[in-house]
Amino acid sequence: MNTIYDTDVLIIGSEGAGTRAAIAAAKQGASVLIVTKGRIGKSGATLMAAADISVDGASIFDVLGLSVGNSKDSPQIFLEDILRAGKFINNLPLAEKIVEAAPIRVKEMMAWGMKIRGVMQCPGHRYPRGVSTTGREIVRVLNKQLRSVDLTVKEYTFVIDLLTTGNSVIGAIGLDLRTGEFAVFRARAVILATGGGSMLYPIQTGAVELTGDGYAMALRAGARLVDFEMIQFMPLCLIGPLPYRGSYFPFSLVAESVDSLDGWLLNRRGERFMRRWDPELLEKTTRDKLSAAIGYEVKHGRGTPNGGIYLSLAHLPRNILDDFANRTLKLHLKKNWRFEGFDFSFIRDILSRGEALEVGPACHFFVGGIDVDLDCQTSLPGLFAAGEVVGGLHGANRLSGNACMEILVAGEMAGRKAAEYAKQANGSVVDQSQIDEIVTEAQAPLERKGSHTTFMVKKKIQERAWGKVGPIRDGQELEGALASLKELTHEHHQSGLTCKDRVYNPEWIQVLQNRNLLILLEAIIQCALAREESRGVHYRIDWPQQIEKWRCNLVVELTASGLEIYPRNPIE
Amino acid sequence: MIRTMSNSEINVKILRFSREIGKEPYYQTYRVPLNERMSVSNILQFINERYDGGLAFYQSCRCGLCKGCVVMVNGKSVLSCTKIVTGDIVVEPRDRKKVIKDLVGY
Ligand SMILES: Cc1cc2nc3c(=O)[nH]c(=O)nc-3n(C[C@H](O)[C@H](O)[C@H](O)COP(=O)(O)OP(=O)(O)OC[C@H]3O[C@@H](n4cnc5c(N)ncnc54)[C@H](O)[C@@H]3O)c2cc1C
Ligand code: FES
Repeated sequence: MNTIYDTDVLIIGSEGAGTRAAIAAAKQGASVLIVTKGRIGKSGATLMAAADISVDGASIFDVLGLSVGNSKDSPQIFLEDILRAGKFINNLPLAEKIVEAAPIRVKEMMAWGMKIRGVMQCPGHRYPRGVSTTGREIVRVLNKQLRSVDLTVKEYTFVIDLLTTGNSVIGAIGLDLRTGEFAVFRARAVILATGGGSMLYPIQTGAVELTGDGYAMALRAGARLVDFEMIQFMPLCLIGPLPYRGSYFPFSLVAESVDSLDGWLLNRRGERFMRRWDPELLEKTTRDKLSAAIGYEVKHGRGTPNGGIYLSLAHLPRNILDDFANRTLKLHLKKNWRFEGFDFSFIRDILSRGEALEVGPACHFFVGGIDVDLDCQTSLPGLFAAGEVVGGLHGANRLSGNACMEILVAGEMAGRKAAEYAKQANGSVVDQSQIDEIVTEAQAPLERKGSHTTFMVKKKIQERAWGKVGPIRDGQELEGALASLKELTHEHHQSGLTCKDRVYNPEWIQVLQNRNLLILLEAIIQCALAREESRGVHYRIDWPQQIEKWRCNLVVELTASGLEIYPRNPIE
Repeated sequence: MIRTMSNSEINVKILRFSREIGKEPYYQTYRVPLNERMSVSNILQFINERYDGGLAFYQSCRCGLCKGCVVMVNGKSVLSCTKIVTGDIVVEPRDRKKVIKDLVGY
């Protein structure tokens, strides 16, 4: 027997966007239930952010009351920068709404006790706009606020699918990892705040829960995605040793802010290859160019033995390195070279000896995502979405600080609007056969004697994603990848569990995630193949130029015959 | 890149428990090759992927920020993602009274 939970607003995801939405919905008087795959405050990307939250310079001065603001800046100029970075395929009205509300939301966070460390200027922003704090601080303040409202949190609950009637969303079904039983959530409105999908790739900066479940669930329920080929890579991450894989520490040293150190990228011939890609800005160019350039060098056999590229600071006097740790603003870097939870003094030693680091791109952020209107509602009545899971604001590329801005502003909007919607929605009856179907499919691997393990399948999916839809793409290879997806899907359906436990069984979790990763992979391949140009973070070797006729969005829908991709004019 | 330690194998002794099975907690030992630098999380993941897909442990950020991965290693509370392993280890849950399964707790 499945346990049934009733609520006005169901929020899937417990971090930045999810908690902000919960606070707003509860303040409207709605009953709120947050469910999360992991633990609240111990999952997701939000707590990992460095973090800068973007606010236009004029409002930093006028609204936040900080003297470091700059009255020459304005919401309009900020919007122009967002469009420039997004290569003019952003959802402009959505961007306007988010930029406009950002100062209010950040001021509110400060009133709730968020400590800030100053304002920084990051690449792509014409003025200093990055209100600097930490992700942990954002999470701390939101959780404190959460305790002041009335709501329920259910941890360790992996939501598998949404429940629908007609095309309206009326709840969700999840696997309670603590009991191994399924939980049915009946809700008047549902908010997806499940974050991104960087675990599709073998090296990522983000957290292990981020397998893009929200995108896959949304598609299966009938909602649309936009610009799903737009995946942002963090170019200069450690690729080893294992514990540090995906750490963006090297990026922080040489590229994070306008004030970072001058680092040289060298291929295995010792050539400073950025001269070929951006002779003027070299390593100070944008993240997308760095990622594409590194991907290109490695693909052409000019990488390091471990598949990266060399980052050298050998041209700098040693004390510049030490002084750097003392002056930087955004970094988690401490004077003793602790960065996040790691002691990186061994890296300082490597660099001080004049040796290079091996670095490479790691998947960082899903720029595209679920298509929403100005109330954060998807194309399905009753389904709202906020945070990284949404597409549109960033267009073809995201500026630093704009994700944290988005979670606060869109989170609040989604929570408020979902609560309003819930007030007028009739409680619908959940169709038992729909539940049975989802449960049967989810339980199937438990009973199967598989020829592959679910972890083997995950590895294959990740390798495919990295090779075909990483920082560089190629038409012919994409076609090949699309054709070979059938085989991978077959292996997934053949994969069984060696452990048959229902309670917190990592293999079972993995197979349910693989189901979602495969949809993500196919959607990205299809979009990347369709877009015959290079724009923002999407780089095609065979179409290296940006082409005006492609100034459009690509929309993804799941139909009875599979994924369908079609172009749409940008919303202006 | 950085090479650490020579080829060697270590014993990883883990306190296992599942409410579902109802057995008393018991220790299980795995032999894990340690040819490169690995954290406790890397070791647990290795066991998960190679030997025992049912071994449960929590991890999220993998860089010491979320504090969700606390376990006892050789009797001391550590973050499994940042704790580098150099020899044999005994891994136990943070609080034996609050175990869901193996190393995952409430
Ligand atoms: C290392 C790093 C540094 C960053 N630095 C910055 C920065 O400085 N500035 C900036 O603006 N942005 C930054 N970003 C991006 C930004 O942090 C994220 O985009 C943003 O925090 C996402 O918030 P979110 O609430 O949408 O999702 P997340 O914080 O990722 O939370 C997702 C939640 O969904 C839950 N979930 C997922 N799937 C399911 C499911 N199936 N069932 C139940 N629950 C589920 C997870 O458990 C989690 O609780 C950074 C990202 C990373 C990884
Ligand atoms: S996994 Fe987050 S602190 Fe270890």
